[in-house]
Amino acid sequence: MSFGALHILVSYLLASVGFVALSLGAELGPLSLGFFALGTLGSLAVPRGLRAKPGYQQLFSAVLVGYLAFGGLRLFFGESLLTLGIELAGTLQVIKLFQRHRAKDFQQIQVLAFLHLIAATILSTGLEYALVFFAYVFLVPWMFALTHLRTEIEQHYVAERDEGAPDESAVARVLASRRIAGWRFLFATASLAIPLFLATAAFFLLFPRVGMGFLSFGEGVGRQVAGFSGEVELGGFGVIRTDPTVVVRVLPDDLPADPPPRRNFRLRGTSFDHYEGGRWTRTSDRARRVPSDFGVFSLRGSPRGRERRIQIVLDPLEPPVLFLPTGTVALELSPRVEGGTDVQRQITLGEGLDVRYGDGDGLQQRYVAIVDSAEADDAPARPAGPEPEREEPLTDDARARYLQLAAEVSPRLRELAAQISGEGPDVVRARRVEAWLRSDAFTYSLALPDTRGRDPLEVFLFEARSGHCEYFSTALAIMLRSVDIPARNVTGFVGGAFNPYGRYYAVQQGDAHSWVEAHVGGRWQTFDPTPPARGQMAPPNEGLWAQLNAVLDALRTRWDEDVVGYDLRRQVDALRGVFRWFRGFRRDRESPSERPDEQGARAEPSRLPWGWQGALSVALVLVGLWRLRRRPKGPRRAARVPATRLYERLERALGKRGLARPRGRTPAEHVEALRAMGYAGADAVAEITGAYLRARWGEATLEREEAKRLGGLIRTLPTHEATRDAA
Amino acid sequence: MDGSPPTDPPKARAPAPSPKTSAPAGAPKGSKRAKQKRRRRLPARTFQFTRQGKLFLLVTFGVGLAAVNTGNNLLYLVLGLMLSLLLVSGTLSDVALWRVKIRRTLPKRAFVGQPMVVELLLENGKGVPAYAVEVEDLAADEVRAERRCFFLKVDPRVTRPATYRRTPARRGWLRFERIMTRTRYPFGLIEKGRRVTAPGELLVYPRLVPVDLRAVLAGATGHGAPDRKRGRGEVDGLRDHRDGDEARSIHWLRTAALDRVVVRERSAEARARLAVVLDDARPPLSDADAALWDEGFEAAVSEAASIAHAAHGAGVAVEVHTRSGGTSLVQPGEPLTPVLRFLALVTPAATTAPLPSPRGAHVHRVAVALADAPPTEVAA
Repeated sequence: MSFGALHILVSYLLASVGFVALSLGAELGPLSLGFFALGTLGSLAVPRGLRAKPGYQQLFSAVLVGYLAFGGLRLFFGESLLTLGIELAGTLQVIKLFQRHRAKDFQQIQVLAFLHLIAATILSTGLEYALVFFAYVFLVPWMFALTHLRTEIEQHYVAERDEGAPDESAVARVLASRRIAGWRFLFATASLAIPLFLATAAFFLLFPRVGMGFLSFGEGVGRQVAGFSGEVELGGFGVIRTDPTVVVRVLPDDLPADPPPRRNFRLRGTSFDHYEGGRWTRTSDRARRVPSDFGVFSLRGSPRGRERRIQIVLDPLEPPVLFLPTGTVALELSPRVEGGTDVQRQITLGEGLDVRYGDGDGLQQRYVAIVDSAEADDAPARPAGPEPEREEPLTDDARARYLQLAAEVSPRLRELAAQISGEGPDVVRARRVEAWLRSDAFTYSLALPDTRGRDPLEVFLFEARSGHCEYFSTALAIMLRSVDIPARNVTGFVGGAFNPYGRYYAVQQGDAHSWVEAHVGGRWQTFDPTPPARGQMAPPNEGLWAQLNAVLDALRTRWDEDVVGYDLRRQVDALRGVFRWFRGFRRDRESPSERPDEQGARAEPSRLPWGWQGALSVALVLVGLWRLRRRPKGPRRAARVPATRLYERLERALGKRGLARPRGRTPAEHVEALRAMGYAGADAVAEITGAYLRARWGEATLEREEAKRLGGLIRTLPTHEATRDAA
Repeated sequence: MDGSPPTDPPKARAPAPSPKTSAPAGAPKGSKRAKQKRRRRLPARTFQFTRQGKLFLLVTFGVGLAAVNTGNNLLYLVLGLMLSLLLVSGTLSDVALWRVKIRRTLPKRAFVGQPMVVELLLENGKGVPAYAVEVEDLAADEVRAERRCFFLKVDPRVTRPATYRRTPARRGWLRFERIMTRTRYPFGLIEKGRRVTAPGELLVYPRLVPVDLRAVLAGATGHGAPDRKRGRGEVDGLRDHRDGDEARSIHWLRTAALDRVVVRERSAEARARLAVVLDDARPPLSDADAALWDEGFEAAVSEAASIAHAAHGAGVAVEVHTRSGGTSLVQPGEPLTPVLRFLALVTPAATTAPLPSPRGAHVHRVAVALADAPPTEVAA
């Protein structure tokens, strides 16, 4: 490919990356994106001759003025300034692609693409930005190098008459050359992306995070998830059961070396106390701020020393609910770092154990749930007899709310509940109803029952006998309430597929679930009446696509955590880690006899972080490849080097005798010339030249002895004057 | 006329002693310490941001400010990329000049006011191509050269030539001191330069101006005006080519037959003889007059050289004399180098010695004439 064509190709690739960067936010509509795509393609069709005409350039200046006027009108009629700005940035690039003629135009394309990349930092923080950024890092060495060479060409191939202007024909000739930038150039320039990337990572890690925050553009918008706002309509959950988007990642502290592929973590979101007309609502939005005790937010009393720690990484959701594993008694959240100082999180606790973050932390949340082992999902069955240690008394007001029954609840439903629950302690009665709903009499189905204006609960219990989790949980809650057991409907997630790439359990949107908490035995206990899905659910994560999704999610998690969420605390931790590693490394080297393991207190062996190990490995491999490439191959090297040295000696000897080979004359021609002038040593020169050429091009080997003999011939070469005298 | 030696490689020692490289006071010039010091001395390097680089730096500063103010980590990422680009650009610009050697080839002769072509050879000793290298050849009193040679691409282990034109402004030794290699490759943000000492010198002959040779030789014994067209007498024989012989005097047939270059020798070469006598005595003058006199002296030297050159070209044996010295007789066909060299280096003399009057030669005296208009140039 010619230099000019390659430069155009790279420019368009970079411009396209810029357009993709602009499209990451929701500001650009399909119309704008289509315009950019068409404009980019259309600019390729403009002939070079037309671009050089001054009228052509002025035409686009007029187009820009018109576009700005149109933008002003749109602004007047209420269009967002951000949208207009982004559209203008894209339009400028399209215009520049049409106008590209000289090196400065390509420089401007380069600058605009760079500005697009900067603009995208406020449009998206997702993994998509990471992909755009990597594409940019890959393309930018090509673009910068090619544009620079083009600038140099235009500066140095100047017209004779007008030294300020480039010589068009000479420049065109150079641009058409295929010799300037071949595959080697592309490979070498592309490999610059590696040091660029490493240096970028180093700068990113080391640049002090002392952001002042007074120009903040605001945080990202959370993903809307049904079921956690103030109102849930029966049937609303079913539609998201097949959504594989990962929203929560769970990292238990008891993760074995070979974790099971699935574990059902029950992550509680929020609860509802009022049911009427097929709709669950929360009667009270009152919430109190939970005080922080050095980053620990106590929700249900203080920890008692038998707790487990489960780390949860939560995507930003709307509403901002924190999900709690069953038995959570407290949360641990690190303060947010702003302007170099810690800012405590604002955690609120509402009625029905509704925990939310209220400080606008739109980015990813990472917190630790401190779970009472005795109340956890996988806790052994509590032996009968002793009452639970953690009492949760219910006030009369609260009891009344959790026993609320809508007017539409029919007497036959009450009768059915009484019949199923029977007599006995509340917990036993509740389990009976739960078991009945989980029995074969009911089936799980994502298909919604056809209610036709009737009470959906009645239809579910007495006709359809099939539905999804919301129907089951609603049925259980209402049935328990009708037999005087306080109950509430709870929404959250149940699930967890192990992601081996990130070593966490991924909980998807499709794992959204609904169940019941009943106040029995002096505390709230979990009842899940939904029978197994039996093929109704999304297939488990298998196959290449699922693997790819797992990799992407692991990458996204690392990106959100290590890049987007990188702050001063992590920076300090990372530096401490490096110093610790360095100290450990020095200690190991200096006093191997005083290792801690010999004192019975061996710490974890200090190890360089994986990222650094990878970077070092890549650098070592590259150096090795480079050296391998520079070294001539085995037999050829053995043959060529002595032969070349021998011929260089011959050249020097002939030069001293006034018989140097002129430039432009081949070694064989030089032998003939020496013979023609009657040089006495011509035969020896011919013999040495023949040996050199055979070793150099004929793959023959010049043996050591032979090289020695020919070297002796060089020493005995006569001077030309001696030849003349002899003649 | 001297060709210069190859330019030092970046790690080579500086060949010519300079105030910085010379041995310390008290130490012998060739002492081990002085040698070590010279060996350790690296060629000077230059570093500067290009116009695009300065703009880039400004944008980097802006992005840095935005990153610090917003705490947006993606802006920190972009900032890291921009700083990396600057770092990589600076480093690779330096690497691009590694193992790049420059050799200078000077022309055989040069006259004041006449453009000469200087050839620069760039040898790329690296295993990768050298891109966009700019070479500046600097004389002793120059800071920036008017013309630079540009090498867009030099393949690995390849030597590539480039030429530039230089017009000497004054006679005498034109001394070349150093060669500056510069590159802005790969990103055009930073310009790195290496200054290497590359001594070389070329004797610049006086300016040649048109002269009326008929008037000069009028009355010369046995001669009318020499006829350039008809040659310089009959061909007496052949002789080996000497430096300075004109190409038109080469006898190509015999050259081919004898396998060495031979030229025709003319009979007229032995007959006409012109002695150009230049009055170089400088009278005591005020400063203002001294400057005028110096100007006039240069014009006189130029006139003497032009007359000698024209007469020699017309087949006249030429010699030049001043109060303080002179040259031997240069026969036609012989190189005029001794005369031109003498006139290139002649300086005003504070002597009252009488002007010489060579015998057997037609004498033409050249004296300093004040307030003359500058002479026009002719081709050599």
